[in-house]
Amino acid sequence: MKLDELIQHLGLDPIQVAAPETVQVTGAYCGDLLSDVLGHCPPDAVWFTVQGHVNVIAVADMRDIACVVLVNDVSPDPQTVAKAKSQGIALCGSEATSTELCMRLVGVL
Amino acid sequence: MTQLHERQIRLVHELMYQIKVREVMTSDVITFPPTATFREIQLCLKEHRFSGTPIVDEGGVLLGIVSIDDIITAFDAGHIDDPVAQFMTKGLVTIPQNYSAIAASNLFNKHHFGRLPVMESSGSDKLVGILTFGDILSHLLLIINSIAERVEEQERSMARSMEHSKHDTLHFELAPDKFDQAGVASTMVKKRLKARGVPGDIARRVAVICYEAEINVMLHSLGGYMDADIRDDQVRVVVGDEGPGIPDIKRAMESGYTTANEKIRALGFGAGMGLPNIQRCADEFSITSSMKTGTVIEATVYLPTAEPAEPTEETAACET
Repeated sequence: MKLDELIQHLGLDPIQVAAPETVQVTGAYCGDLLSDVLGHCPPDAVWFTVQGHVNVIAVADMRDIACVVLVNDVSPDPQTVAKAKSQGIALCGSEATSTELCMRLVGVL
Repeated sequence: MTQLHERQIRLVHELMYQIKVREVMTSDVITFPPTATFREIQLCLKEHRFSGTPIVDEGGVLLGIVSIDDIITAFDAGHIDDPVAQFMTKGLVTIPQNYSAIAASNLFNKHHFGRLPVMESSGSDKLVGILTFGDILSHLLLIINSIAERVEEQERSMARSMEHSKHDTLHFELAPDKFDQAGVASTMVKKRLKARGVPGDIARRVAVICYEAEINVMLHSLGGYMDADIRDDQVRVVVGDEGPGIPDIKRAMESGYTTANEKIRALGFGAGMGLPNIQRCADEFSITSSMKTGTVIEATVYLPTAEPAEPTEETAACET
C-alpha cells in the first residue's frame, strides 16, 4: 500500500512527509525499545512508537523503515522533525494507540 | 514520559527565546488616523481580509485599535459613518520589539488576542509593527527547515569526502553522551554500502551492527572509535572504546542484561539487546574487554561475490 493511502486510512497527522505517493509500505511494527526495533522491524514498514526523540530517525534509517508514527499524541522534538526531513523519512503523528492503529491495518496491508 | 515532555518543551522554548519579536512581526502595517470613519476602515478590512487595524496619530503613536467587533457595534449603535476616535478600543496590551517570541506567546495565551501591536521599545507608544501567533509559527518552521538543511549539507560534505578517499576504510571518532549525534557514523557506512550496490538485507545487518555499537560507546564508555573496512567479499567493523571495560562479558552477552540507568531506558535504549543484536547480525563476532584498556568489538559480515544480478528489494517487496 502506498504511504499516502496509509496516512489517509489511519487518519495520521503528516508531520514531515515528502512524496508519500511514491513510498511503498509493506509491513508494520510496534516498539519503543530501539534495539528491539533494530532487531525485528521488517523493511519498508510503518513503525508505531512513543519515542519522539531524534534517535528514532536514525533507527528508521538503519532499518529502511518507510514511516515513523508517533502514537498516543506524542509530539516530536524539533531535531526529530529536522532529521526526518534531511534523511527523507516520513514522520507522522496520531492520537490513537499502537494497538488501535494495528487493528485498523488488519486486512489492508 | 514526564522527562521526555520536559525535554521537548525545553527545546521549543530555546528556539522561542532566540526569536525576537522584531524578526517575525509585520512592519508594513496599514494604519488609520483617528479621524477615519468606521465605514472607511470596514472597506479596507474587507479588501485585505484583516480582522482589525491600528489607529495612530501623525507621529505614529498608537492610539487604539478598531476590530471587526468594534465595527459591528458601531453599525448597531448607528455611528458607522462617524470618526473612530471616540469608540475605538483603547488601553491596549502591546509588546516591545526587542522582546522574545516566548513573551509574545505568553501574552497570546493569557489574553487570547489574534494580534499584538509592537512598540518601538519598552515604555514607548510608537507603533513599529503587528505580530500574530502565525508569524511566530512560520518562523519556527523556517528555523526547523534551516536546521534540516544544515544537517543535510554536513552529511553531503561528509559523503563527498568519503567518495574521494581511495580506500574503503571509514574511520569515525565517537564521543560519549552525544545522543543526538548517534547514528551519524552508521548512516555514512550504510550509504557507502548502498552506493557500492550491496543488497539491502545485508546492508541493514551491517547498519544494525554499527548503530548498536555506536550507541554502546555513547551510553557506556568514555569515548571511542569505529572503523568500517569494506572489501569486495566482506565488511569488517571494529569498534573500540577507552574504557571503563566490561567486568563480566558472558553476562553482558545475555539477552536482557543491562547496566543502563533510568534516563537511558526512558529513551528506549538499554534493553540489554544491543550486543546480542550485533552478534546475530554478524557472520563472525568477537568481543574482548579489559578493565585497563577498554572494550573492542569485531564483527564481520560476508558479502555475496560475483553473483548474477539478484532481484532487488523493491521487486521482492512487490511480489509478496
